[in-house]
Amino acid sequence: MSRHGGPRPPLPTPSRVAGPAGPWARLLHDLDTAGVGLVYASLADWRSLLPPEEERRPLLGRDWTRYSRLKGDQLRDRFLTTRLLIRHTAAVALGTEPTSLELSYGLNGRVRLRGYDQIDVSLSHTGDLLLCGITSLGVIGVDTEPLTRRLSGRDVETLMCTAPERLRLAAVPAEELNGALLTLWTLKEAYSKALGQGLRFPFTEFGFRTPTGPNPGAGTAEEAAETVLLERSNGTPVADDTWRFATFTLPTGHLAAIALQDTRRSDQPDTRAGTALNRQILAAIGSWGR
Amino acid sequence: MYEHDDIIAAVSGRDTRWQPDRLTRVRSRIAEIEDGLGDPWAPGNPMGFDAVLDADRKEEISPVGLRRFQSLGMPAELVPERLGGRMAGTDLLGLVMRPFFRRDPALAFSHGFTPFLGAQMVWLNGDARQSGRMAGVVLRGGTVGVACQRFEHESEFHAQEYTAAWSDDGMLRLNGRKNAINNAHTAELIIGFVKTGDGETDYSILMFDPATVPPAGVRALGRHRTTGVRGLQAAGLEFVDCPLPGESLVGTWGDGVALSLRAYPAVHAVFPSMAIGLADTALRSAVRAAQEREFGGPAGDATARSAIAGTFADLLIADCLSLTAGRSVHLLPDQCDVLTAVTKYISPKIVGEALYDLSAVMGDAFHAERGHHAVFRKHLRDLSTITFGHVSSAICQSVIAPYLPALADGAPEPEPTPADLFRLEVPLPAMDGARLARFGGGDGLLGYLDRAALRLPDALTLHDGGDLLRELVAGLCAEAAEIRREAGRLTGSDNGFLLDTHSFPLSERYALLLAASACVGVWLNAGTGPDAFLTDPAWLVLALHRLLRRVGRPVPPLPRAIEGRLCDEVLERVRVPRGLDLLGTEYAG
Repeated sequence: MSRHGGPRPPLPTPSRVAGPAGPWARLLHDLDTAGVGLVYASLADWRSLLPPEEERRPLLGRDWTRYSRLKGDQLRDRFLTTRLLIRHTAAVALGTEPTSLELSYGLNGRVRLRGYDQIDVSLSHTGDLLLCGITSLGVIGVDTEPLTRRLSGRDVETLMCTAPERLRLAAVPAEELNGALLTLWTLKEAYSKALGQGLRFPFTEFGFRTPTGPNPGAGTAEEAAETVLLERSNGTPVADDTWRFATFTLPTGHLAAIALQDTRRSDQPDTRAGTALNRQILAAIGSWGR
Repeated sequence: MYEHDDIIAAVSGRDTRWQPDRLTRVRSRIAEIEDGLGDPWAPGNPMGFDAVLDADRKEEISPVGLRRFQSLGMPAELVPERLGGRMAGTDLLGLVMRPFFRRDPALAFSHGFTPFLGAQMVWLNGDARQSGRMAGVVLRGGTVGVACQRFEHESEFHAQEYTAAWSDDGMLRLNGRKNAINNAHTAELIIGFVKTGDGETDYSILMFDPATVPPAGVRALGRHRTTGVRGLQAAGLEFVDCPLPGESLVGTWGDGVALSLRAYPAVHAVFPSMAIGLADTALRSAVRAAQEREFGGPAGDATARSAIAGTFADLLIADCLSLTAGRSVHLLPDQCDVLTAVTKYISPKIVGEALYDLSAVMGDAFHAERGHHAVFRKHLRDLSTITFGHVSSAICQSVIAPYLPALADGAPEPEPTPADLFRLEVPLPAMDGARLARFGGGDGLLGYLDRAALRLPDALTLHDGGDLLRELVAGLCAEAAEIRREAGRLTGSDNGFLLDTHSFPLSERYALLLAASACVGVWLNAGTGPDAFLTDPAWLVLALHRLLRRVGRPVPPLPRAIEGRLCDEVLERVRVPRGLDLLGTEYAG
């Protein structure tokens, strides 16, 4: 595989994982071929497979404190499930055990795998749906919303859209307006999460230009990847080809968005934990009999 | 009593009766370089951001910048005094390079950092003739290229490697191709890490002038373009049975990995220090953007003020760590390998996270490609490229991980950390290559926190907020104890930690704790001299609060006044202007 100069492999579509046991083969394949993968899961499915309370502490590690403060089974199960999804997804890329990993949180809440900067993860959940993105190329942000979520309304547009976006939305037929707004919302969430900012980056300060049509921006990866463009608040395109954006419609009736920055520039990124420590250095230091 | 003119004469070296102290000398040198470069925000300044952005767009190194680098005597800063240069310590080199790094990271990386990296390999491992040759090239502003070895977790600069073998004629034969070597086509000397056998550690270090090899043996490959620092003149070189004289070998044949490890401490300490200059510009430009937009007051709303204060605290953390690491190379040469690797590992992560938090302060200007706001985005891009990302982390983790078992409860305690480790004014002995090869790792900084906690009550008697600081240090000590417990549970020894993946998260938490120790040490010892802002513990409180949050421990609530104090200091230093680092030297713009 060569990414230098040649065409980039398309962004892979999200694949479903039924539980901690997988299937994970698609994710592994996507990471190997494209350096990025997306998985989605049903909270109800995973919940039915969760271990009993007394076995949970070692699975949570440092997240146990936060978990133990949550009130009620529903909140606790959802928290545990999201952490397990991240751990299992990362363990696939790192070739290690999910329990040996430690999740850490940036000062704005961005989740990371502590000690493993060869990968970046992002999580989004809404209702029963969990979406997790992972990459070895740079940074990633994902977001998902049910297609049925209503966003339409003038206030919403003022709060989350730039002037050029509002102008374009004015030309969208009424029945497609909500879909167009959802597309913008999820893309903005995904990009802002990729930057580690969550909702701190005001959504009126940057915009997206998406293809128009019955289901704007959503489609196969090949169609969508290069047609969503980042722009400044006045509509000027941001000329930065390290960023890629796409939206997907999931079979669960959700819209999913991904923002990915590729700065790795290595042809075959090896992400495995087992090869991360350099054997030559270890041998050289070891020879001094520490 | 000396008059003002006497002091100036003394600073410039004309007065033999009075020698300025180390702090005064470095401050005046930074001021001299700043004066020579001028206000970077001024339109029309050939060393200003307009010119730098223009050169970046053209993928060039500014020739004016390079001439200024040389005329201001920067090459001599890279060379130790014993070899005819003026480098009097690893802790000072990063400081004097910041004026260039804050303006033009591509120039500073190519002509400041890269020659330093290559030269360290020779000065610590080569013979007198090789050391002198390298010093001669660097001193007259010649270019140096470095061909890195390949790593499994490769980057663009760490993919592919050369091989070399002895031939019957007593010459070496070099083979292989590498697509990305910085300064490949202009280098007067190339330092190459070459594979010289089938064994795991069979590497050697070579130094040669690519212009003197037979043309049939070498082929220049095309330019390699990087995502950041676009002016970098990286390119490829292919060698086919290329003969090199035997004297090209630096140090012992086949010992290249251990030899390069001797040079890592200085390199690992200097890079994060230099990069603070780059981060200074990003923070300064975010403040300017916030002020121009007038969102919610002089520097914006509460979120913006918090991000500005937090970023400044993070820059000070990185500065404390690089100061401590830089001094450890000279003061604790046989123990400094882990501390310096920690510095290179954690500083870019802390600073990078802080700079991304400024994106919300920049708002629309975050995406500017033209005009003076564009420097923010360019510098962020540059930082990402020149830190070498994951491959550099993997190298550092390879140095840190083997040391972790030595932290376990019951393991012998290293010697207590000397106070001079934190005090910039104390002169340093020259680097000692043999002692740098001992890889001891025992800097004692983890234990320093417990000892510092005992000194805090006295140190805090004149300050508000003492309880908060004591609580934060207690939290850090609790984390240190937890790290020791977990270190004791790591399975395996020798190569065993290749398999125990718990060492990865543990390395990072250990790194955050050493960063906290460095901050406490610099504060307790007034590491950069008397200063009203640094004496007030507000910056230390915010720094430790952020480190404790990063380590994943609960933190006490932070009074709003703490961030307010740091934000006001940033605004003042942008207005005057002064450096956004420990020294806070007056800047030209």
